[in-house]
Amino acid sequence: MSEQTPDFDIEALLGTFAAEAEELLETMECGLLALEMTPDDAEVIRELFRNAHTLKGNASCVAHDVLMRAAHVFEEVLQRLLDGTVHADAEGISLMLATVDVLRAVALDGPNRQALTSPEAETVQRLCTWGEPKQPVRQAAATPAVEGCAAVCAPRESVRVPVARLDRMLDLVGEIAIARGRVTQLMHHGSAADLDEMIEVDRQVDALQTELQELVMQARMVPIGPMFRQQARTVREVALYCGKQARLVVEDNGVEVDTRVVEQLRDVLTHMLRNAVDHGLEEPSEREAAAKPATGEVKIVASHDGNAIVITVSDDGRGLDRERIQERARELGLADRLADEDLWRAIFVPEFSTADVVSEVSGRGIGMNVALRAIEALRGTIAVDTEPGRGTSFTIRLPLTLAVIDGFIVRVAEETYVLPLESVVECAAVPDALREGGVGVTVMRNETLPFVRLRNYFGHEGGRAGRENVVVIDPGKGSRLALVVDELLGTSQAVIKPLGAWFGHVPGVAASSILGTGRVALVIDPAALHKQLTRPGRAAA
Amino acid sequence: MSQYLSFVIAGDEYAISILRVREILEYQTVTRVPSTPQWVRGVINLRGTVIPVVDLSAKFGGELRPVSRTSCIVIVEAQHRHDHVVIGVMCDEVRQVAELAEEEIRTAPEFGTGVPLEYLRGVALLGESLALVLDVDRVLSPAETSQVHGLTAPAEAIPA
Repeated sequence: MSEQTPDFDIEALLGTFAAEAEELLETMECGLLALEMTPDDAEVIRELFRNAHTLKGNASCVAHDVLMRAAHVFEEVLQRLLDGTVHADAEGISLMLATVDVLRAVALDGPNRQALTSPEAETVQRLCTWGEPKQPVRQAAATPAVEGCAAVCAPRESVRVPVARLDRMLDLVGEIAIARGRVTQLMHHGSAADLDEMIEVDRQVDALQTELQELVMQARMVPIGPMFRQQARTVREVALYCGKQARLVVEDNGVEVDTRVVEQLRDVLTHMLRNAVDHGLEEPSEREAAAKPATGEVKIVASHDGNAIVITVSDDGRGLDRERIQERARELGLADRLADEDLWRAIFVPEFSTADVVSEVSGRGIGMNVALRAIEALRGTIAVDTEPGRGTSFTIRLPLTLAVIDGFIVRVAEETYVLPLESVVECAAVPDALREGGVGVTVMRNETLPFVRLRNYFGHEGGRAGRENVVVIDPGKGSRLALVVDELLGTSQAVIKPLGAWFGHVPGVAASSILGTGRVALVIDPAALHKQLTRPGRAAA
Repeated sequence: MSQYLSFVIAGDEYAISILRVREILEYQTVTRVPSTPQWVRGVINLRGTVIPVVDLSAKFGGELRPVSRTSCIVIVEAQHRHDHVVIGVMCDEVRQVAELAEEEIRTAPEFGTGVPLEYLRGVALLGESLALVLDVDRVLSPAETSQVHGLTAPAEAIPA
């Protein structure tokens, strides 16, 4: 009996199936939310039907019976919506969204899934029941999908890349190969006279590689808009649960970010939006009393600002209550050390919640802290702006290039540090007036500059080094400052590796980087360094 | 019955579930990260990923361990909040892999082990010696500090 070996790669097929299923389900989610706005739009229903049908077809290709049957139920309900024998009301939309979650979980498990779980079967059954052609038209109250507002969502493991971009990458790879071939030839058969040519070819390879690197990094960039729009579901479900009315407005301005960043921001935004709807927005009656529209607006905006991506999450609700925050901060023993602008940052401390009632949605005080850690892990910052009665907005800033930066390497004691090259103004000889100590003031070229001796700042032992050097940096915001280091080691590209949420926030350090030697070097954050040194209350040495 | 890896730090034998152990490395130079507690020795490069390395004996109140010929780093997977974190645990030597049944892990005494109770799952006899079975997630959680500038006593960064 001959064994039939499959002549295709089943793993690859399942991978493609999973990715496509996820895309279809995301499209369907958006479609359902759109349907809620315009329940009679036949084109929206038709598109939903097409997606469900495609999903069913894909499922049959990989012999995923459970998914096929579930998708079929969905199809039938959609057919009745098309026929007009069923009308899409809030209850129906909620049930269909819950069914999308079921389909997602089932698709994720793959064809090995034997059956629906009890809760899943119940959801599908409820959808069936709702989808029965009804007379008279039922006036059921909306059943909010409470079991986890964030549905099971597989992190995106693939991206779409324009073929033209891949073609260019391939060209560059080819050109680099040719150039290197030339170098090899010169090395083996050349003579001293060929040195100039070798240097020239090396320069060409460098330029080609830089272009290739940029293309590879760009390939990882995806528009952030779709992820923003998916948050509409969270807003809808939290609003339903809290008895509020809210709508999500998205302005993505075509901003693209690294695909991993999108995934990491997804949870951050979900946390912040839950908070905005649960705490920020008032109940419809309260809003109307304040001459505001009953439906609150929550807005997410993405934009570029120099070398950073800026994401704003805002609401037009009641604003942060300064009194309550101060009170809570005092209870937690924080208040005494807070300057005015820092008071708002208190909301990011774990266990900080001014909510009277701990709700399912938020109020445990954990959400914002998680969001802050995630943002810091991306080397970003967050700022808060609020106006009582008008609303609150959070501004997240993320550096644009996450992976590789041009770095300026310095040595302090036995450790190596990397400075972002863009912040380096100049290197200079140690001025005669440079004193001892961790901080001080010095004069360089008739300019008075504060200085920081990194040896002291980073807590290295031993006194002043025998030989020192000075690097003048511009931290972006604020005046220049001089860093006193032991040795200057030149420029190099540095691959940035975040230190990770485990470390939390390390003063003055943005991330880590791996040197050519394989050792880890710390990347200095000039703006954070500057900020820490200029905090009120810190005396100049 | 499950398998446990045991290792020695400052004369004491500790054990952790082998399911949490990813690999064991020779000790390598660690890059110190400023403003972290003494027991966080720093970070290393593990095939392109930057991983923290901790010194448990220092965390339990002892001295920083000197590096010896047999010093190793046990790469462990711990649960931190909702994520997995990979952390290196420095040890003087790796001792053995042993099978332990749940019942064999007895409640740790309230004092005398030198290790705070919340870090231990219990104690067990591995061959002839008493090993302290560690609760990986608890013992490897970072020092709880508020992450927000200005809300805790500022680390005296300039001991000028």
